[in-house]
Amino acid sequence: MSLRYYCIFSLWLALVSTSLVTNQVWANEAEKLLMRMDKAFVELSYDGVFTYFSGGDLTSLRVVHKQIDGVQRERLVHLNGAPREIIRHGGSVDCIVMPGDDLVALEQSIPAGPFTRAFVRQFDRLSDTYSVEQFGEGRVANRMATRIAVSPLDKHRYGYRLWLDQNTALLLRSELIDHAGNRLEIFQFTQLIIGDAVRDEDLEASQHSGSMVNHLRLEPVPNGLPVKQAVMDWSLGWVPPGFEMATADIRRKPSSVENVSSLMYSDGLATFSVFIEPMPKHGAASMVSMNGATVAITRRVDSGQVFHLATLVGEIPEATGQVIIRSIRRN
Amino acid sequence: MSEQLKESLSAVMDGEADAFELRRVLDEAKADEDLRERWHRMHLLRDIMRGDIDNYAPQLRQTMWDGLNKHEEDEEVVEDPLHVVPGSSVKVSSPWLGRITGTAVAATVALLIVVNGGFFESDLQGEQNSGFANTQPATGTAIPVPTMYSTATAADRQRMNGFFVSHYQSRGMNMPGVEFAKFASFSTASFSGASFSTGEQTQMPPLADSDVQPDTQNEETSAIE
Repeated sequence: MSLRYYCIFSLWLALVSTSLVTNQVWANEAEKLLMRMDKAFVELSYDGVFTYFSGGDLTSLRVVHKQIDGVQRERLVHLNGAPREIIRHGGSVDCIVMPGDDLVALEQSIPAGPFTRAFVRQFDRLSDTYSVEQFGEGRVANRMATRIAVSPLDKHRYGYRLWLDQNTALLLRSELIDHAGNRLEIFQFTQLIIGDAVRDEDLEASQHSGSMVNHLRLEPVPNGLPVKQAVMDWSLGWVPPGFEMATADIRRKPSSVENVSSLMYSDGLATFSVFIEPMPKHGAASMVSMNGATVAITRRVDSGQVFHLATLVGEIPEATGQVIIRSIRRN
Repeated sequence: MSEQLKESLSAVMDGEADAFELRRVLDEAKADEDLRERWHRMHLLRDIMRGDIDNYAPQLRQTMWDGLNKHEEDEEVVEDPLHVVPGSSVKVSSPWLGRITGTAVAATVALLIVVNGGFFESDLQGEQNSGFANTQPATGTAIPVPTMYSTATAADRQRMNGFFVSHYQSRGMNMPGVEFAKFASFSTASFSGASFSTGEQTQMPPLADSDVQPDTQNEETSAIE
C-alpha cells in the first residue's frame, strides 16, 4: 500500500521536475534567442519594408542595413507622406527632409548630446523584472518565426511579443502591450531580403531636386559633456526595480544657451530619459502627452529659490513616470 | 454648456467618442473654461472612486485617514458635521465597524469637496505667488492639472517634441533596429487623442488578432498577462 503511494509520488515528482527543467530550458533558450536578435540587427545585411503602428498612426518605411568595414550603415526611407530619408553612417545621422517637415521645425529644440553606444541591452538581467517564454510559431513576411513573450512582473513596464526569424533571429514583428492587453505599438516587416543580395548602392540617399531638400545633421556634439552621476546636479530618489542609469550627460539646445541635464535609465528593455532645464520664461508647469507607448511628463522642480523644469520621456506607464518625476532631487 | 456637449465629454472619458466628437470637445475646451473645469472634476471623481487619487493628492487622503483614525483610536464619537452619514453619532466600539464608517465618511467628504470645487485654496495661493507664469487652465484647485497636448502653447509643444526626438534618438543609437524606426518615423501627427492628462488610450482601436492560432490563443494570453 505505502509502496504503491511511494511509487505514485515518485512518478509525480519525476514528472514535475521534468516539466520544471523543460520550462527552465525554454526560458534560457528564449533569452539566448533575444541575444541573437540583437546581434542580428547589427551584423546582418538586410533590405526590407516594414510598417509601424504607433499612436493611432500607421507608417511604412524601407530599411537597408549593412555593416561595411565594421561601420554601421543604415538607410530609412519613409514610404508615405512627405518624403524623408534618414542615413546613418556610424555615429552620424543625416536627415533628408522636405521643407515643412516636423523635424526641421524641431531642429532648434532638440537637445543634442554626445551619443555613444552607451549601453547594450542586457537580456541576462531581464529575469528579475520580466518573464521570457517561447510561445509557438508564426509566419511574418513569408518567413517562419519563433514567437517570444516578454511579460513584465510588475506594473512599471510594458510587455512585448516578438517574432524572430527562425533562420537568422532577425526581429520580424514586435508588439508592445500594456497591462490591459492593448497593443500600443506594432512593428512588422512585410517584405525582406537578408544577406548578400543587399546592395551597397541602396544605402545611398535617393536624388531629390536640390532646392527642395533640407539636410539636418545630427551628430555627436563635441561640447556635450558626458558625466558620471557623481557630478550630476540631479538624481532620482526612486526608480522602478531593475532600472539602472545608462547614461548621464549635459546637452544644449541649439536655440538656447542653457544647459540641459539628461539622465537615461534602462531595465534592459524599457528606457526613460529625464531632462532638467532652468524654468523657461513661458511655459506650462505641468504637461502630459503620449506618442504611442511613449509618455512625456513635464513638472516643475523647486529647489530652494530656483525653479527648474523636468521632462520625463519613456516607454513606461504614465503612473510610474509620475512617481519617478516627483522623486527628482538636487544633489 | 449644452447637454450634448456634456454627453460628448462623457463619451470621451469612457473612450467611446469617435474622432469627430473628440475633436469637437477638444476645440470647445480651448475656449471654454467651464468645460475644462468639468473635465477635471469628472476625472478627479473617477480617480477617487477607483482609489487612484493618492497619485495626485496624497496629502488629501492621508489627512482624512489620519483624522478618522485618530477618532477611532480615541474611541471618540464620530461627529457628523456634514450630516451625511446617518448613525455616525453612535459611539463606535468595533474597530472593524469603525473602518467601514470611516471609509464611508472619507468617500462622502471627498465627494462633497469635489462637487463644491475649490479645495486646497491655500496651496493654490502658494502656487500663484511663486511668481511664475502658469499657463495651466485655471481650474480653481491646486491639483496640478496637466495641460493637454492639443491645447498647449506652440512653445510647450515644441519643447516637448524636442525631448521626444532626443529620447528616441538616444534610444535608437543604443538599441538598433526597431528602436531607430521610432526616431525615423517621428511625427507630430502621431499625437492622437491619447494625449489627455489621464494618459489613457482612449482611441486605441480594437485590432483583429489574425496571427494567433486557435490552439495557442490561451497560451498567448496567459504568457502576456
